[in-house]
Amino acid sequence: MKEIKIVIGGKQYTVKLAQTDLEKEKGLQGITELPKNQGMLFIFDEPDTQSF
Amino acid sequence: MEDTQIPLDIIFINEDLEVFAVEQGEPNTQDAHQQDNVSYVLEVNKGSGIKVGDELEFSPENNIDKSKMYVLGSDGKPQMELEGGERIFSRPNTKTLIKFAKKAYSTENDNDYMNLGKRLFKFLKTQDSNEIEYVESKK
Repeated sequence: MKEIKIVIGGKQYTVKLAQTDLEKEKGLQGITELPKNQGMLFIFDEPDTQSF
Repeated sequence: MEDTQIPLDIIFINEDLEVFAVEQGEPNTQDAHQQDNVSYVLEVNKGSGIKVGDELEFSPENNIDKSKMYVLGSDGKPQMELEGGERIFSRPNTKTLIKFAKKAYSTENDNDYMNLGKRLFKFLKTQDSNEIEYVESKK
């Protein structure tokens, strides 16, 4: 899965990009540990209602 | 959040890359965290400190080719090595900055220093509001 660096709230994170429907569906399921400077960024083609 | 095993901050971001909502996701619950007009969602560990109004920035390092770059002379030989991250000012803009700098240097006048600063920041702002590797076209 593609990883990129982002900066938000003054901190840098390395995040996995969830872009395909499958990747967005799966999200962080199954992950048991997440370092404080990592995460997942879900990208939506158009502004829409989303439920997490 | 079903099937997710870690407490998360769920950060809702609009198309202008602004955080407009932050919710807490608890593991193995049926809670639904729903928002409208979502363009991005960032999930990180709970307690990130990210708040409404923060901006999402994509790091310019992403996808940059890390191989070396050289400035070549007319003989084709490298004259200078570039590390990347340099700011390059066009010839006309450089002339302008030198002109204002020379004036400030001779008058030592606060106003002249200020005008130099204003010019410089104007050029920097133009550069910053364009994609990296932006080169101003000839006028």
